Amino acid sequence: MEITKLSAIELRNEILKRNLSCYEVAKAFIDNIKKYESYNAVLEIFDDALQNAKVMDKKIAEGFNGKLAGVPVIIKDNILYQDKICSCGSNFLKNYKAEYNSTVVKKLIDEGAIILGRANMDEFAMGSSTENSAFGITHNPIAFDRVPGGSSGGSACAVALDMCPISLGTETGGSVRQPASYCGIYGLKPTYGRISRYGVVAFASSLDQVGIFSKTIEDNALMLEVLAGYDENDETSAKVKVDDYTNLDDAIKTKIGVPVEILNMTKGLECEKNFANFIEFLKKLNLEVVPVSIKNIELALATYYILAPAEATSNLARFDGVKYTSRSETAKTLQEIYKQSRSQGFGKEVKRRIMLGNYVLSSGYYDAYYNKAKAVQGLLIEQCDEAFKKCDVLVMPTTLGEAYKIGSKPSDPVETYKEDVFTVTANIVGCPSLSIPFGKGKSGLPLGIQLFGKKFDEKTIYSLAKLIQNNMN
Amino acid sequence: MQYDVIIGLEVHAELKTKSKCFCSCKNEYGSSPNSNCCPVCVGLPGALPVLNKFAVEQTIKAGLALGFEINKTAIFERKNYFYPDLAKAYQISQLEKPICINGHLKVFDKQIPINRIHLEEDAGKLVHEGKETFVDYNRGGVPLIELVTDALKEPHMETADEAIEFLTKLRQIYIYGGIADCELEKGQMRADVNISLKPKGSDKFGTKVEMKNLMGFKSIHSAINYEIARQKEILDDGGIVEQETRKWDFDKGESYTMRTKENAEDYRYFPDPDLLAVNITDEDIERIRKQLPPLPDEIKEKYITQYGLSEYDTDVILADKKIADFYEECILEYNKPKAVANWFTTEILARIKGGAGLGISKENLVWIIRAVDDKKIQRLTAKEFLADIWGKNVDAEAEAKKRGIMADLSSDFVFSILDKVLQEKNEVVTQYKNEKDEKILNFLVGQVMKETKGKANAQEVKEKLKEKLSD
Amino acid sequence: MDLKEIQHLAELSKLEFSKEELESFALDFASLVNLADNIKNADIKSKRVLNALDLKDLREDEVKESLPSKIILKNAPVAKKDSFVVPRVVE
Repeated sequence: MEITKLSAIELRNEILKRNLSCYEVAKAFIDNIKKYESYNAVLEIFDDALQNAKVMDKKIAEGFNGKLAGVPVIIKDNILYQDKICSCGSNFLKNYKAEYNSTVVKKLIDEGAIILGRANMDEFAMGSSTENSAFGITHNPIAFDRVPGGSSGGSACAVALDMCPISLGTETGGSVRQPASYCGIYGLKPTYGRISRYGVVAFASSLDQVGIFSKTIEDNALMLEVLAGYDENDETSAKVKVDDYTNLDDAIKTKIGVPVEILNMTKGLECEKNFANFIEFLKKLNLEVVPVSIKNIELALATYYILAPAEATSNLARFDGVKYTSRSETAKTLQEIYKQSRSQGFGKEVKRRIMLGNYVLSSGYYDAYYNKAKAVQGLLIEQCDEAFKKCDVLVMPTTLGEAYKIGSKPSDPVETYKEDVFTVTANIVGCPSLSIPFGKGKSGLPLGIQLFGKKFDEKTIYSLAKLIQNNMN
Repeated sequence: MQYDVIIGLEVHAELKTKSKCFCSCKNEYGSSPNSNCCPVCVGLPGALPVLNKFAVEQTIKAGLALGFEINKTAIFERKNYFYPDLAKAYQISQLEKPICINGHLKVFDKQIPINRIHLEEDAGKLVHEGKETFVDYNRGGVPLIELVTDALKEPHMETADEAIEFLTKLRQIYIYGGIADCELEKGQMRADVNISLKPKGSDKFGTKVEMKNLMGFKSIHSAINYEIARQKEILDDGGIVEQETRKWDFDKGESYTMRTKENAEDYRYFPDPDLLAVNITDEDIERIRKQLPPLPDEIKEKYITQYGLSEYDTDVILADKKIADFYEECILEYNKPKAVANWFTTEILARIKGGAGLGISKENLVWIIRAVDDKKIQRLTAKEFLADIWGKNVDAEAEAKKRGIMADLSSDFVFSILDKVLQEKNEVVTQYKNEKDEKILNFLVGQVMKETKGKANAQEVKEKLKEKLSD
Repeated sequence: MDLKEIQHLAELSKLEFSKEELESFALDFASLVNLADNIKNADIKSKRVLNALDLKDLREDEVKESLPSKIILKNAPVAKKDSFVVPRVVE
């Protein structure tokens, strides 16, 4: 059997049956990371990964059977793993070593996962292509001259190229779902509050969630089961019961809602035909498909590009050259330390968003932008709640089309921001959304469809995804 | 020209809690630098604040003690600015919905309106040495309440004395409420003062000048008087008072400009997305109200009406909660509030004012007071005795016996001494018989007391002498 | 938006830009503000959604172990005497 083609669940089974050792599994995946080095998906292979795999073999021999026993995992470079570099794709943090473990890393370790390395990303998770990393562009796993999507492009590419069966990314406005779509894999953004954010470097705190990439729906569900749950270190994590995600019922009759506004928004786009095909496909599965409305969804993008930069401005202020980021060598006064360290440390896109955030928060503009955006958020939540009275899951395309060519976006940043038009709503309203691979674009590259569920109802979207997965093969 | 002075206060007090406001590090003064720190209070990447329930309850307590309404929903905002003592480059504070709104505090005969009390986190400590500044985040994240008086409502504080009285009373309330220790020298209570002047009777407010860096009531008093005089002078000369923030230099006794209106900070407040709003119910408020210990005004009332103490004695005892607590303990042992109070206002307080701690146990003090009341020890002797055993770990009764200072008036011994003195001071006795001068009599009493080594009761000796000499 | 306003935002952001960078930013900003302006004219009656916790569910006031100062300071660009160090900030 080819180890790196196995799913996480299969790997764990083989390992627990002692048909495979954690060590040889980790080794096989690490070999793949090295083999595909030119894709620049992984920034660092942790030097203790193989050693940890050996230790895990011993533990398993002694009866350990964690949910991820021996399963290799790659984490996005903004998730803190104690004593390991966590650079957030930024020069500013290129030497920063985590002082502590994030809650998600703790959970991975507790369940026996072997964390192989950290994946490339757009700097501070700001971008949709991984072109904004200070450590080079990550390539699309299917078409080398194209982007893998972003900001979690490295994590997506790693799964698609069999460098690990499951990886972690983070989402603020589509940073898991969009690269999942471009790379032809599954990508989940859970309900806001489902997974602890403690130890995940914040971009926009009210929108951020850890997300999961996988090649199978079962693997994705398994990982959510490990990571989900209340954390006393994160006040925004929810005290909501965690479902048994590994026990999915694909016979469940899900009622599908199609937002009519989305049909309008897809007109003339590459995703239009594919989305129509998908709806036909659902009908063939005898699922009920009903039209619903999220009337102001067209305001979601503007709302996102007000709320996210506002919070980011404040969250990124702590990187000031005093406590842990590198300090400009030319700086002599405190103000020079701040200004020079930050100007040298942050890349262009990050600076742009910090500036935008300060604009929408600054005196005189706060009500017109920030407060208004919060009101629109309230409105979108109401409209989604209303839509969910008529259906269990909403569907919409993940991206405008297939992965675009590296360097092909015009210099106007808003042209790139428009990439997020279908994904930001789930973050704004806090609902879970899963991008599943479905169909191909005009160059034969993968496209994705979002299954957008009610809050804390990941189980229903997983069940639907499983039904779709089973009927596609 | 005559002016109306309007004084506003912003008072910060560090709450008494075990842990910090948004993390579980110790809320403790005086630890070695950066030893009470964690990812949250140093603002490490990925760290998240988690609000301390007791800090909110303490804030509610402060509000209830000062007649505030408690907001049913409290929101925490971020106040954004860069400074090395601010680990995250923002301070978690409250702007839109503070925990407490609209309270008041009686200052002399004025009911001073207070706008709000909100909960926030303290900043770290900066130590300046040579060309460097050292940053210690132990204090960073310590829960801090900020009280802001309402200068828009009548009546206003108008003098430095009123401001100091406000602060003194507020401090006592915080201390008696168990809300904050308010040790000034530890910076646990700090005040910013703003002052504006307007022509007497005018309804247009003048320009407000804020003064920062006021540590200790003495500098607040001087700074207020300095600022009133400074603004008067400007206005008298037909000038315009600039809106600014001034810093008080304690050593020089003057203030200087710190920040003008043009470079005023834009703090870009917005709700902290890491924290949820807090719902506070009527049940919560009632539960917390019950936890509020008796406050100074209530205790004062009791001392005056039940204990029969003078207002002065009451104030003197209540000024220091440790003394007041000790006083109450003594009363429990020996229910003579007035007698005990006399000992407190004279002997005990004088000794403690010198900086020494409480040097006597409740048992010893009560024994001495009782012995004097029972005439077993001469008052003066007892006072000397108290001074002698102050700070020593002895049993007062055993020690008094050992020293032989217990009174022994009824014995022949005292009479023999009395006779002896009358014989020896024959001339003086004659003089007294002629002049009937009280001073002479007192001299004779003194002689007897000297001979008895203070064991006799002077009053009784005096009476006996009078009796003898009137023959 | 004029350069002066961009300059003010840079000050709030503690960022420095060359003149060319500022001009390029001004261009981008026009576009960004244009995007954000979409919501300005939206006819919204909805209010902000407030997620709240009950007082009783907040963290109990209990002390947990802090991190050793050595770890707190390990990434500091300059640290002495168990403290972070910056150039003197007051005279």
